[in-house]
Amino acid sequence: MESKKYWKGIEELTEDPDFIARREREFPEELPVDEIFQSSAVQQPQSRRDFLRLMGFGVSAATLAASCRIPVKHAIPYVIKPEEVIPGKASWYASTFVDGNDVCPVLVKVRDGRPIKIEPSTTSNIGNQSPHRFLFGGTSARAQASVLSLYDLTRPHFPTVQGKEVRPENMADTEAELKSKLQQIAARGGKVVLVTPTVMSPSTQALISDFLKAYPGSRHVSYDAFSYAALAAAHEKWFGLYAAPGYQFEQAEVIVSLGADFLGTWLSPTEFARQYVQNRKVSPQRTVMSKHYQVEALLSLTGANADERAAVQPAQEALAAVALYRLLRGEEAPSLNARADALLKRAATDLQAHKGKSLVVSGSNDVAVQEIVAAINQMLGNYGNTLRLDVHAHCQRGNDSQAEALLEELKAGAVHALIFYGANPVYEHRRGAEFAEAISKAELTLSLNDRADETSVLCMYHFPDHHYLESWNDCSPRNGLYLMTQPVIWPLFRTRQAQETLMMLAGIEGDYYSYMKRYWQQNIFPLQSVHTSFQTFWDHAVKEGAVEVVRQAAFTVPSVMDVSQALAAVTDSARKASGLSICLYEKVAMGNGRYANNPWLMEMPDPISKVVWDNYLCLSPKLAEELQVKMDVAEQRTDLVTVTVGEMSLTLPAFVQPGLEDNTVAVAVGYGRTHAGRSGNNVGVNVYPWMPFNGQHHQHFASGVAISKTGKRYELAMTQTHFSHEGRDAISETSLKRYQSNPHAGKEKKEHLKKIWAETLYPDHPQPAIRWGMSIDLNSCIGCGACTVSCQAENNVPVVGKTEVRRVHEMTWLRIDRYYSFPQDSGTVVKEADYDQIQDYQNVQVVFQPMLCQHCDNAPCENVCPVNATNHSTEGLNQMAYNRCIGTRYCANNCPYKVRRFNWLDYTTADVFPWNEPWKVPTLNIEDLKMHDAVTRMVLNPDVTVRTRGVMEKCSFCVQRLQEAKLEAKIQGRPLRDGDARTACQTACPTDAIQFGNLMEEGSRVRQDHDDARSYYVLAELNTQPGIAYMKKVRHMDDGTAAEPAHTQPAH
Amino acid sequence: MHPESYIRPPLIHGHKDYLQITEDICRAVEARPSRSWWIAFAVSAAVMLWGFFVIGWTIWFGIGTWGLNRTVGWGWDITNFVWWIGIGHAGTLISAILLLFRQKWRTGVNRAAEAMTIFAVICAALFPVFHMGRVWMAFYNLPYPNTRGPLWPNFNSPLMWDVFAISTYFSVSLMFWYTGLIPDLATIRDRAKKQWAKVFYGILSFGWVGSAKHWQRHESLSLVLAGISTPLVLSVHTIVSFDFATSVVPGWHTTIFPPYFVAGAIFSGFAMVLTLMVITRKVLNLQDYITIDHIESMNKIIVLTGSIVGMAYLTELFVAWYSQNPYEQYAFANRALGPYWWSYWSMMMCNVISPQLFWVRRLRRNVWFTFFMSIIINVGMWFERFVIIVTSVHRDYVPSNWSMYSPTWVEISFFLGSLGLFFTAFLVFAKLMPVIAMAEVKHILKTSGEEQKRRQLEAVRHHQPAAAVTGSH
Repeated sequence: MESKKYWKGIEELTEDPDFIARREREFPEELPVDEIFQSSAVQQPQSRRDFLRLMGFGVSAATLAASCRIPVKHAIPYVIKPEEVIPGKASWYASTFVDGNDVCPVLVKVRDGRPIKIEPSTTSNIGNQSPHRFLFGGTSARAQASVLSLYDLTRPHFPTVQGKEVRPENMADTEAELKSKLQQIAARGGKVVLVTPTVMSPSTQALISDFLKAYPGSRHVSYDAFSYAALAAAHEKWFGLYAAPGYQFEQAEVIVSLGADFLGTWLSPTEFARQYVQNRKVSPQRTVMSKHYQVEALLSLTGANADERAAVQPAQEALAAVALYRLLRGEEAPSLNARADALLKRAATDLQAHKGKSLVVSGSNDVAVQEIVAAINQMLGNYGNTLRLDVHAHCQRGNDSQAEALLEELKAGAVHALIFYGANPVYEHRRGAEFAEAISKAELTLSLNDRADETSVLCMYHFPDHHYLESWNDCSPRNGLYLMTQPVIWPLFRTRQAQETLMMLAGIEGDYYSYMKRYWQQNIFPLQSVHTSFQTFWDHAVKEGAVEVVRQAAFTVPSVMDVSQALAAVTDSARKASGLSICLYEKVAMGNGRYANNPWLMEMPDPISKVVWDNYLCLSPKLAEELQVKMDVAEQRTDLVTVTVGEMSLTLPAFVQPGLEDNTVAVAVGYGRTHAGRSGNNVGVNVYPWMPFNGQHHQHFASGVAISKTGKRYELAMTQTHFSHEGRDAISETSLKRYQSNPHAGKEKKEHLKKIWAETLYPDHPQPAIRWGMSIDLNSCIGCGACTVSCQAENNVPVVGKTEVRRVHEMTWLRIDRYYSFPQDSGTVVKEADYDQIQDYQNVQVVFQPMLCQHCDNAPCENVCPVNATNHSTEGLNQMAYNRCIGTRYCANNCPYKVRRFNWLDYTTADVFPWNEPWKVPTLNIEDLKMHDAVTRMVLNPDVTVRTRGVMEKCSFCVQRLQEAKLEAKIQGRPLRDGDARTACQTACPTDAIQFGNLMEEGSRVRQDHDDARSYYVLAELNTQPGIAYMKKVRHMDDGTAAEPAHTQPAH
Repeated sequence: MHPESYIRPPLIHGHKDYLQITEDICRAVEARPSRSWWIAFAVSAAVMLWGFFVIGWTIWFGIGTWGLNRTVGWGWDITNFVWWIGIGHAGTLISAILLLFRQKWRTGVNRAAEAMTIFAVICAALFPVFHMGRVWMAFYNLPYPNTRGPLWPNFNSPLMWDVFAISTYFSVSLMFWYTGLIPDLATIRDRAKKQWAKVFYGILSFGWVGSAKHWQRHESLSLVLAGISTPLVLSVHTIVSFDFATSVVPGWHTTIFPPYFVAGAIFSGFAMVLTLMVITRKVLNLQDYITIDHIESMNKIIVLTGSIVGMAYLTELFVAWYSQNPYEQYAFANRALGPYWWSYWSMMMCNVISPQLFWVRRLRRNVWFTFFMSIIINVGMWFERFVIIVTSVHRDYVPSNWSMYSPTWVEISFFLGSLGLFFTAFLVFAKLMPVIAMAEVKHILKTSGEEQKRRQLEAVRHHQPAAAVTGSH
C-alpha cells in the first residue's frame, strides 16, 4: 500500500521544521568556518602558514565529505536477545511449499527473523525404501521463488469490505456481521458454496466438512485451473478410487508418455523428475538406462528429454493410446503418422519386454483416454509396481463439471453465498467473464485468497490469507504421507489465516494451529507406532516437516479391463478433429498463473523457448512459412497474429518453435492477469477462455483454429537467440550403445589434454588444500530451471525486466543453454548454415547445458583486468572484488563462456547516487525490478554483497556457503568432509545433476566425476583449465535412428 | 644546412623570402577571425558541448544507456578509441621519423599534424575513460602507493599497458609539439601589437630570443624528443593492438595485429592530415607552403600503408583457413558473410580497393580527389575497428550467447562530440598558433625554395655546369 509511511523518529513523523532543516544539512553542527576566517591570524596579511592551514582544512574537509561513498546505516542490536536468534547465523525450519499440485517439502532459511531462501527438505523421517522418498531432496523453480512472494508489496495489507479497509478495532464487528449474514442465508435454506482448487491439506479438508455441517445446504466445489481430473475419474470408474495413482518412475525401465509433461508440469513434476533420473544415470559400473518414448503435439520439457519422440496432433495423442493398446494386444492399430507409428511399434515391443517395469502415462484430461492408458498399464502388470494405488496421489481431485454447474446456478441466482479459498475463477476459468458478471448475483461473497486477484476484487468481503511462510498448515500429497507447513515469520501485513475465518463461521473456537494439532492427534497419531506420546510425535513432525504412516486405501484392481467403449469413443472423436489444432499448456515457471506477480519466475526463461515475460503462440517452422509469419530471432521480433478458436479471437505474438507438430499451435495459460500485482499485470494474454469443455472435463486442446496476420510486429524478450550449437565442443553426446561398447572412451583425450595444460612457463596458482570444483551431468539435467532461480535467490541477482532482457542485459549468473539438432535422413543437422537441408523440423533433439562461471585455473578474465578486481583464490575460485572493479568489461569480452554479468544500470539501487534509481531511468520498468522497496529488499541474502551499478559480477561458487562450511568444520574441530559445502544450484536441483566439492580430495564425488571418462571440459582446448566438468549426454536410442552429430575437431 | 639538388622539385613555391614567409603564416594568427571561422567554430563547439552532455548522461545513468550487452562488452566506445589513437599516429610519424630520415617536405605539414596528434589523443582518451562502469574509480588504474596492502594494478593486463602507452605518448607528443612552437610563438610575440597578445605569446614563448645558444638547445631537444617519439610511433598502436591480440576471442587473438595496427594507424593518420591540410591550405591561402607535392608525398604513403593493411586482411583470412581452427574460421566467415557483412565490405572497399587508385599520378595530385579519398579512408578505418571489435565478439565460442549490437543515441552522440572536440580544438589552434612551422620552413628555404632553386640553377649554368650536379645528393 503506497500511502503507508515509514519513519525513523518522532520528529520525522511530525515533520518538525527544525528536524527538516537539520536533515537537509550536510553536517549536523555548524562548522566554525566563519570563526576560523575571522580569527586574528587570518585577518592579518595572509602568511604562507595560514594558506597552508586553510588549504589543509579545505582539502581534508573535502576528502572527508567525498570519501563517504556509502551512506552509513546503523543496525541496532537487541536489548534482550531472543534465545534462538544468533545475529549472522541462519535458522532452518522444515515446511512445505504447496502450489496446486506442485508440492515441495522444504527447509526455510531464516536470517535474523526473515526467511530468505528455500532449500529442499533433508528430513530423516522418510525411509530409503519409502515410495515417497523422491518428493524430498529437490525443489521446483516455483518453490525457490516463493520466498520473494512473501515480501510482495502488492499482497493485500488488510481485510476489506467492499474494497474498504477494515480497521483492527472493527474486525470483530465485521466478523459478526459476516457470520450473521451467512447464518441468515443458511436459515432461509439458501445455498452456500465454498470454491477451492483441490485441497490437499487433511486438516483443512476436515475443517471444510465441519464448516459444511454448520451450514446445511452448503457445498464444496473444487476444480483445478489446469485440470487433470479425468485421471482420477478413470481410476474411480475401474478401481473405485477417485485419485490419480502414485507414480514410481524410478521402477520403470520403459516409459511411454502420450503428451504428459511429467518432468515439467504434470501432477508432481519435481518428484517425478527425481524418480525419472534414477534410471538415467549411467557410469562405467552401470551402463543401462531407461528408455523414454514421447508422443506429443508440442515440444514439452519432457519431450525435450525423451530418447525418442514423435510429434502428432493433439487429438492424435489420444489416438496414440488406442494404437498402443491395440499393438500390445496384437491388433491392427490406427495410423497416426509414419514416425509416430514406427515409434509406437518399437515402444510396444519394449513394453511387452518390460512387463511390470514399464509405465505409460497420458496428459489427456479425457476420461476415455485415461481409461485406455489405465488398461494398458493394467495389461502390462504395472499396477502395484510403477503405479501404486495404495500410495495414490491426492492432487487433481477436483471436478470440472461442478465448476461449470456452479456457474449455471450462479447465473440463475440459485447460489446465495460464495466463498473462495484459493480459487480465482474470474481469471482461471474458461468462462471467467461470465463468472465476473454472475458473482454479484450472490448475496454474500467472501474471498479468502491471499491476493486481491480478479475474483477477490469482485467480492464483498476479502479476508486475505497469509503467505505460506506465515501460516500453519499441512499437506498430504500422497496417501500416507503428511507434510507440515509452519510459520517462519510473523505476518508482514494484516492478513489472516483463511482457515480461521472458516472456523469462525463454523463456530469453532480457537485458532487453526490448535485445530490442526487436534486433527493430527485424532487422525494421524494413531496411524503410527514410533512415538508413544502425541507431544513427541508432534514435535518431531514439526521439526522434520514430514511424517510417513501406513494408511489404508480402498480400491480393487480389476483383472480384465474391457475398455472397448472408450476405444471407440476416442477413435471417433480423434477422427472428428480436423484442421489446425491449438494446445493449451502450462509453462514450467509460470504454471497456472498464480505466481504471475513473481518477477523471478517471470524472468526465468522458458526452458524450451527461452522467452521471458510473455506468452506467445508457438507454431512450427513449416506452418510459419505457410502463413508467412516471420520471426527474427536475432532481433527478438516477431509477427503479431490473430488467433480464433471457436468464437473468441485473441492477438498473440507468434513464436516459431521447432519440434511442434505442423498442424498444431500452442499457447501457455497463466498470463494476461489483470489483478496479479504490479509486475504481473497485463503480461501476455489470458487464454483460459479458449479451454474447451467436453461435458465432463476441461480439455487442453481445440481444433478448428484460424490464424491471420495483423501486419504488426511485436518485440519478444529471449535470453538465447541462437539455437544451434554449431557442432562445437561445448556439447558432447553419444548413444547408449556406443557408451556401452566403451564407457572409457575419451579418457586418453582428456589425459592428453591435461598433459598439455601442464606445459606452461607460468607458475601454477598455489592451491594448498582445496580446489573447488563442480560436475554437471548432462544426462541428468532436465533443464527445469530450478537451479537458476535458486542462484538468483541465494546471490541477490537482480531482475532486470523485459526491456533490459531484450537488450541482452539479463543478470543471471547461471543460465541453461538449450540447443537443437535435427536428425534427418541425410545425417544430423547441427549447424545453422545447413538448416536448409532440414525436411522435417518436427524431428528435433534437444540438449540442455547449465552454464555458469567455470572457475578456470587459467582464467582468461583474470589476466586482462587492469586493477586485479578479478583474481584467483588459493582454493581455485575465480573471485570478484566488487569494490575494486572499475567496469572496463574486458573480462566479460575475454570470457569464452560469456558468464560474466555487468551492472549496466542501477538495478539494485545499491549505489550511492539517488538520481539514477531505476524509476528515474527512462528505459527501466520499476515494477519489474522489485528491488527498490525496503520490504522486498528483506529477501536479500545478507551474506552476499548487493552489487552496484558499473561493476562486473558472476557466479562465485556460492563462496559464502563455502566459507560457512569451512567455519563449521573448524568449530567442530574436524576436516572438511565431502558434501559439507553445497552450492545453491546443487541443492535446488531435483535430479542431482550438479555435484560440487573439493577436487583435491581423493574419492570425493566431484573428483570421481572429473576422473570419469564421460566427463569433458567445455572449450578445453583453449587451456582455460575449467573447474567444471560436464558429463556427456547419453541418448538411449538405436544407432540407426541417432546419427552422431558430426563434430569438427578443432585444431590445437 | 644540407645542400639539395636543384633538379628536385621545390618544396616552397613562389617568390619567397624570410619576411614573406613570416607574413604569410602569421596572417592567419594576426587577422581577425573570419565569418566562416566563426561559423565552423560555433558548429564544432555546439557538437562538442552536446558530447559533454552525453558523457554526463552516461555517468549519471550508467553504461546501460549504451547499446552494449552481455556478449558485446565493447562497441563504438573502443572502436572510436582505436580510431582516434590511429589518427594521431601520422603526426608523430611526420615529426619524428621523417625528421630522423631528413625528409624536408615534412616541414610544411608537421605542425598541423602534431597538433592533430595531440587533439586526437585527447579525443581517444575520452573513450576508455568514460566507458568504465565506475569512472570515478579510474584512479585505480594508476600504480600509486596506497594503504590497501599496497594493492597494485595488474601489470599483466593490456589495459594497464594502454594506460602507460597512451599517457607516455601524449606527454612526449605534447612536448615535441610545444618545443617546435617556441621560436614561432616568439616571432608572433615580437610582431604583436595588442597588449594581451604580447603578454599571452610572451608567456607561451618562454623568453625565447633566438640566440645561438637557444637554437642549439632547441635543436638538440628536438632531436632527443624525435628519438623518443620514434619508438612510440610503433609501440603505441602495438600496445593498443595487444588489447585484442592477447585475448582469447577468435578474431582478436592474432599475432599479426601489431604491425597491422601500426600500418593501419599511419594509413588513417595520413588520411586525417590530408583532410585537415586540404582545407587549411585553401582557407589560409598557404598553397605555397603545403604544395601539391606535399599532398602527393602523403598519398604515396597512403597507397603504401593501405596496401600493407590490405595484405594484412588477406593474411588473416589465409591464416584462419590454414589454422583449421573452427572458431577462427567461423569468426572470419562471419565477418564477411554474417549479419555485419556490410561493415566488412565497407572496410574492404574503403581501405583496400579505393586507395589503389593512388597508383595513378594524376589522381595523387588532384586536390579534390585526395580530399574525397581521405574521408573514405577514415570511414574505412573506422569500420576496420568496428569489424575487429564487434563482429569478433558478438559470435564467439559458445553459440547460446551470441547476440547483436547496435549503438544508442548516447554512443553516437559521444562519437559526434569527440569530433566536435577535435575540430573545436583544431580551429582554436589554427587561430592562435601558426599552423605551419615558420622557423622550420625558413630552415629549408635556402635549399628548397622555388626562387632559390631557380637562382641556384642559373648560377650553375653560368659557372660550373657539371660539378654541381654531381656534388648534390
